[in-house]
Amino acid sequence: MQLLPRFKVRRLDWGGAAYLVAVVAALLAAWNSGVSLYYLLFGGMASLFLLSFFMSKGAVKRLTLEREAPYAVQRDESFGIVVRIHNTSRMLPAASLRIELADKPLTVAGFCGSIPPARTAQLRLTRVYERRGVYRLPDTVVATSFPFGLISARRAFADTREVVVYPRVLSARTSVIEQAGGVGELPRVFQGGGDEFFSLREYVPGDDPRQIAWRVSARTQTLLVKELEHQTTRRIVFAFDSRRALHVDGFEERFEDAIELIASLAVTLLNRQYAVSVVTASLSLPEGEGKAHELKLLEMLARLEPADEGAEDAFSRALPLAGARRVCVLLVSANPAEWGLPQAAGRVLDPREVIRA
Amino acid sequence: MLKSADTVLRLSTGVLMLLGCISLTTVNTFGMEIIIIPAVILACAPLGERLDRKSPAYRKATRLITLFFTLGILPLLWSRLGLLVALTVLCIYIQAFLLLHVRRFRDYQYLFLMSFFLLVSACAQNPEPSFGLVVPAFMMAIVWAFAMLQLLKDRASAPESAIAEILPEEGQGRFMPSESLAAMHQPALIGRSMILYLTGAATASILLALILFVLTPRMEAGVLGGRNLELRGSDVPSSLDLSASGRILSSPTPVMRVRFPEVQGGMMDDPLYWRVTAMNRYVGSRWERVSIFEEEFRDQPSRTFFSSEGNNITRSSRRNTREVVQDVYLDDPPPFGIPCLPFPKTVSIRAGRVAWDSAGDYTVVIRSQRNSAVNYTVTSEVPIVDEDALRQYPARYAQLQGERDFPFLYERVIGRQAYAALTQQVLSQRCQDLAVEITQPFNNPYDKAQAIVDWFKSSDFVYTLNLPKVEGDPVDSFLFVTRAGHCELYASTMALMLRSVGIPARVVSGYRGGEWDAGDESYIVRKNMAHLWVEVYFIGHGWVMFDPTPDVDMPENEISDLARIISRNILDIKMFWFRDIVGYTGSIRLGDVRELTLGLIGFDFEVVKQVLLTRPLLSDALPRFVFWFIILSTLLALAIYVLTRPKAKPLVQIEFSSDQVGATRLFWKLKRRLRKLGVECAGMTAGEVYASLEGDLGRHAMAVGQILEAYRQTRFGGRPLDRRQYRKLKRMVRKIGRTEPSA
Repeated sequence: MQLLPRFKVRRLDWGGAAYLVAVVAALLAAWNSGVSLYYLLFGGMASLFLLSFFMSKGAVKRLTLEREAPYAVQRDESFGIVVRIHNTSRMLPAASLRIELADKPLTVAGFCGSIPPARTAQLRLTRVYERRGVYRLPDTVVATSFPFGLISARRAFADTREVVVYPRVLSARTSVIEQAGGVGELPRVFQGGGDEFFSLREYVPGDDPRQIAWRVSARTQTLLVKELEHQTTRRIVFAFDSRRALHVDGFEERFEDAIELIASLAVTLLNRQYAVSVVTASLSLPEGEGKAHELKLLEMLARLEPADEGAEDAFSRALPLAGARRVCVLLVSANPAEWGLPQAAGRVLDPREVIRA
Repeated sequence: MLKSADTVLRLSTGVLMLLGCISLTTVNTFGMEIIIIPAVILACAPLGERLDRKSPAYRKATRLITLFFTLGILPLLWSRLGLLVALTVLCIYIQAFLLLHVRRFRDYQYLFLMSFFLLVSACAQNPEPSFGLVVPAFMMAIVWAFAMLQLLKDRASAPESAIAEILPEEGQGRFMPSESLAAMHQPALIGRSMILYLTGAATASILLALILFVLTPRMEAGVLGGRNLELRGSDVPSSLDLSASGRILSSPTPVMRVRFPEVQGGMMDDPLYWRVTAMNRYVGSRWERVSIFEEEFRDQPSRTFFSSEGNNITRSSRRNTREVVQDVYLDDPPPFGIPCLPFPKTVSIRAGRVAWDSAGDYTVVIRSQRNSAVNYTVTSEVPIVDEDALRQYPARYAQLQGERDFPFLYERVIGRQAYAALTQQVLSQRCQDLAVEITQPFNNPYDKAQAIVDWFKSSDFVYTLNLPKVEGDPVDSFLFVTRAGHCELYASTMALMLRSVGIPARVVSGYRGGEWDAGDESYIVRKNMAHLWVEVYFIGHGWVMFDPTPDVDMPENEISDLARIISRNILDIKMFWFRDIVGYTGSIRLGDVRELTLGLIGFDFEVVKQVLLTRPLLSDALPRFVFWFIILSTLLALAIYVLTRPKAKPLVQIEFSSDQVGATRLFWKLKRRLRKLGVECAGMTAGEVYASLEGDLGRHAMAVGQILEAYRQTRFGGRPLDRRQYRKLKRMVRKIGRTEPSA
């Protein structure tokens, strides 16, 4: 997507300031001595300064910029922003271009030695977001001090797109779900007797190793498990108490951990053909399966913010579902005081019991 | 990419260092030998860097040397040769130190700065016109040097993983994986567009520098701290030794160019004599310049004949003269005066100061810091020679008592002391007798002087520059033995003969004649036009010029047309340099800026016009300079364009490996060997060769087969062919030749 330039700024570098002082000194020396050749030297020095002023500005003025970035990434996952810079001039090159990101000024994120006339340069910038959420990509700033290093011209290219940073998804064992108990029939994988083969799917940590189809796995070089019978739809509801609890120490971090827990478990379960839904104090995600639903879930979790203290309790919202058949309701809370405590809809999940694979 | 930028940076840094030292050769203080220093340092720079990287002892050693230089050599240079020379040497030393060690980016900036200081040092010492070539070359090199330095600095500060690559022209519409890009050929960093860009920038900077040079308001020098002008050239003794013998080498080097701005067409009808100075005292066989009026200057300071006002000097007027204005560009000023038509009345100079020499003999000296060409305007009072009137002037020299005999003062009164000095001579008796004999029939100084002139011209005297060796008195030898000589002998002899009969006379040095340049409407005076003539003092009139030397054109004075054209152009370039660059004053002055501003604010354009027209902003030579600058710039751009044009790629480009080349060579050798044996195999493939020889090869069949098979497999099959195998097969080829296969 082509970005529009927002503003251009010229800045006098330290070297440029010292050079300007030298130019003034040359003029004073010429005035004082009356030596005509000193005026010539002054003219030479001043001409370089003036040229620097115009050349650096001209170099960035002739550029257009396009940028490609992924729509969504995971937290702490390094991703690449591909930048293409096109030199629209047909005759003049653009040289010594420093590419910076506006949120980290004066830190060179990328460099382009020279873009010949009417050519395009491409480079890849790396970025990491340490927190989940939705972020607007920072402006890309192209700066140059070419050719004399006296004056730096900068041009920012703005982009209105956003990058969604999903919470981290870590592989987790789902045994805690089976042991969670609670209202409703626990979904199971049937064995023996009626072990009618249903399908093969990739092994997910937590699967029963006895279901691994070894021959096929050897042939395909990928661990695959047999899905024997899709007898019942296994349904999981995550009820997350997302209300802000200011009395809880380190609430923000615990909130993030809780979201991460939900994301990890939900994705794992979705990969195991579970139907997952999420209910929070402010939002809810209806039940669904598959990859598309996984993305919706992660999208929702990425944008989830703590709700007001007076918002509706998610556990209460999940209560009607707790009694339904074949639905397992998992209660998640960011408040450690509630971990493991039984609630009307079930027992609150203790994150310490969840084994990460 | 970095290697080319680094190479260009090193090259341009070396060029800057060389140019800094070359600029020093344009001043008198340093000779051409100074260029050896940077040349040696640049040659040793790679070795120095290597030693710096590998040996810690090297850096310690160089630091010790630096300490010794700073504490020992530098103060010595300062005390012996002056501060400027010491600082110049210091700049060169710093450059040497930096070049002989591993350099950081900042060190390159110091190198550029030192080169610039050398340029400044040369500026302060009034460089020759060749300095004008150094400046644009310096600007060209500094643009490249700065550009490459900036490129490398920015590259070093960027992460390795985020270096841009140029998309191929056909793939510019889509994003390409970095791996694909890395595999593709990247255009050169310093390609044609970059070369044109930076060269264009350098050219623009040169032009801009000249514009700023012209437009920068000038100020009175010294306003910020004072400026002391060294006095130079006053009363520098000059002398002329008549006893020197041998050939006088006459040089056609131009000395000056003179224009007559007030003469229609610029051409003068009268003979041209460019007076420099007079020599009054004759001792032994030498003429010397001494002041004979100095005491009278001191005694009567209020009665000044010669006066000065800043950059102009003037004097009281003489009678029976006409004023002639000359605009003189003097390229090579003589050390004891500046030439002009006799007798200078007012002199004004562009850069520097002029003064009357205290000898009071109309000699004009330059007083300035500079020792270079000068441009000045002279108004001379050329005497109107009325022979009849001159004959009326009395010859009662012996009656002069030191009183004022004349109703007005037009120069110092020639008193008894002065008369004695101006009639002092040491001629032999026979020379004196000859003088009496020649002048006796005449009763006035003019006819007496003219008689001597006529006598020289009517006698069998020969003009020559090749003086024979003489024993004894040169004048006596000239008159009675050799009867050949040049202007020095003629003039000296006449002056001494006149002195011997009591007429005050002196010799005057200068130049005679001039080469008319119709294109410029000016005269060029060359060194080989140097001349000596006589001035005779007439009571009531003053000094009158006589020239006893025959007016001949010596063959050895002729120069070729090409040399003439070259010397004129060189003179023009020098004139442009000293008049329009070094001596440029045609600009707005700071004091004018206030008036200009007020005039513009008040819409008083008359004031604006007056201020701007006070002195011409642009010189006459500027349009010509701009024209040539544009021509040269265009030629340079064309040359770069042609030289950097990408070469046409061949339609089919096959690259063979070295093994394939070797195998092909073997095959040719085999075919050549077979051709020598009378087997026709031209144009045949390996298989065809083998088939044509089948049955005829005898015991060599296996060898031939081996060779052909090796060729086929290597050339077409990609099988390697190492050196050992190659040599073995080559030996087999040679052995095949020893046995003829039966036809």
